[in-house]
Amino acid sequence: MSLFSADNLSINFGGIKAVDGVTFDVAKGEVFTIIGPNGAGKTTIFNLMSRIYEPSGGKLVFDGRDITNVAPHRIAALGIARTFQNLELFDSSTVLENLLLGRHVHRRTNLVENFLFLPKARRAEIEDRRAAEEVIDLFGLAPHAETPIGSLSYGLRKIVELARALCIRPRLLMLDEPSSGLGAEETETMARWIGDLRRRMGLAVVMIEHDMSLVNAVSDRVVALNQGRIIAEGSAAAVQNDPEVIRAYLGG
Amino acid sequence: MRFQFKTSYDQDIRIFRDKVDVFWYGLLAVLVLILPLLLDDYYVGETAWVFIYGICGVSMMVLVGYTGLVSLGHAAFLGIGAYAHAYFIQHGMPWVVAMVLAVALTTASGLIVGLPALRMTGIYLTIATLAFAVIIQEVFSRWESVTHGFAGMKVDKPVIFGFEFATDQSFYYLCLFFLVVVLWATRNLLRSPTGRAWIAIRDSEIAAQSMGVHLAVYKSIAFAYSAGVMGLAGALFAHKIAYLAPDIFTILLSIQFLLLVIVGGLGSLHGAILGAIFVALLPPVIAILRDSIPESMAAFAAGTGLTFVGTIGSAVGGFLAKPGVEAGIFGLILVLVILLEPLGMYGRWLKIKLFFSTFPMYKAATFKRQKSYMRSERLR
Repeated sequence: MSLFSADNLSINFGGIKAVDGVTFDVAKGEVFTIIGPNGAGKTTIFNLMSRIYEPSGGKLVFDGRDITNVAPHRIAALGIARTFQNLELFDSSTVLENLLLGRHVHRRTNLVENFLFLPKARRAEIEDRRAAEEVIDLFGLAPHAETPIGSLSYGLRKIVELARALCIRPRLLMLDEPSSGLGAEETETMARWIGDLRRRMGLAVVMIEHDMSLVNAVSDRVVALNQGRIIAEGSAAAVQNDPEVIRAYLGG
Repeated sequence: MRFQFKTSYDQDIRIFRDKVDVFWYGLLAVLVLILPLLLDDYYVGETAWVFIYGICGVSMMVLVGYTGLVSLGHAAFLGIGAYAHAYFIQHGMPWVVAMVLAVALTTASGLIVGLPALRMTGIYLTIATLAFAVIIQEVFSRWESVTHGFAGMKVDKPVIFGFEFATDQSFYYLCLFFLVVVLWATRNLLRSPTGRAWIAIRDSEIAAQSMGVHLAVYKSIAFAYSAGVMGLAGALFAHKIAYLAPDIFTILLSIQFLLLVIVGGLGSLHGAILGAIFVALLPPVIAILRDSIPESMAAFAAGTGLTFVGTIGSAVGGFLAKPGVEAGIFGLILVLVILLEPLGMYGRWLKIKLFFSTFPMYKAATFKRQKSYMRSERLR
């Protein structure tokens, strides 16, 4: 039984078919990687999955439920979290405050309770902080918990974004180029985190990645995308050696 | 440097960080409580203006500073609050009921303006709020059965449960009370998910959305809350100014509110108060300088025989007395603040504080804007 599946997913921007009949599924606890040259439609697939774009055709199913028409802000509550290619952190806030936003979907106090800061709101606030601290400890971010994002290194920001996504307690984690902008060592750390998360929490991970060392290290299955269509699917090694994939990357 | 050791989660949530904070805010509280005993009536009245502008500042700060939605129409909300409150009182309602109804009405109008505004961002939203303010000002001048148009509308001193706030001193405490309530309530929202959602929307709408924040709902809350607080300020404003006319609630007033939060420092409640002090006290300060500069320089000239000093003095005084100089000085200060201190007065205060707390080790680069990395395109 697959956790997530996309069936014949398509979207057109004007006359351009950015994603053209893409079908795939992701099992529980699987690391599923999408590779492909620039402009192949990888991030577009992510934006379709998080419902930011309206698909022009196809179906999205998560945990047996059709989510093709679910509002974008409901996606997180279902258990799908994501990171962004070029970081979308709340720059003026601290690491802790960023992580607390991951608790937004778990919050059960209403506006009036917040407004008057009733004991219930205080208890919920403490509970949220406890949950966020667990994630902070998991990633060893404690020394930076009170640091504003603006003064963190790029590598740390990537980790913070991953941590923020985890605060949602997702079952499916979407990582858009987790290694972009990272050095070799930092990429290795990232690979270890992804492996860890999958093993410890049984998360399913969908990942867009260019760094083949990371792809080879963590992926169970890889698909290659070109011009909005899947051109190869299989193990990391098989996809990289596929003549069609080589042609897509090198041209000709 | 003061280090804060954290031993409980509650420490993060408290309004006052630690005992040192409690001490300083306590001192401030004592000061503002005994201030009317120390000052002339005139200055007590001017300080009440600071409090009313402070409430306006909090209203603007929620929308502009925290949610990142720039409004140039807040004078309209102030006007709606002021006229509604005055109208209800004239029709025999008790003060508290009139106040609650005025706030409710402004909140509702904020919601109504907010709804179409949800589809707009940036400059388009600002233009829409500006258009709203122009329409509302027109309504104030035409709807004579309610507002009496340009004939104006007299507002009596507030009478609450039989007590008349007739003196400047008593009205000062009334304004102070409402400012403290508004600050407390706003702080509550800011330390709860509502405030974090606002900040998230300001910094990255797409990330906020993917974290489960319903953009339309939280933007509407920000609009409605901001308008409601402005309506409350409007009710006090009506009593303070004593005579309502449509030409009070102009675009210039809206600009002044925007100036208030920018000069004070966007994204902090301290900034709203500092900005209010600035906006409320600049006109009286200019008025004082207008009289005292020529006088003191003439006295200096008479004493020393340097007649040119007296000439300069009267020239400066004459210049300050010219119409429009006040607006010009406001504009000049706004330009200088944006160029030299984008973080506003509160940002400057933080720098001064950091300078002394880390004394020989202060790094000027601490507040340098961090190199911004490429961000993905805004999707909406």
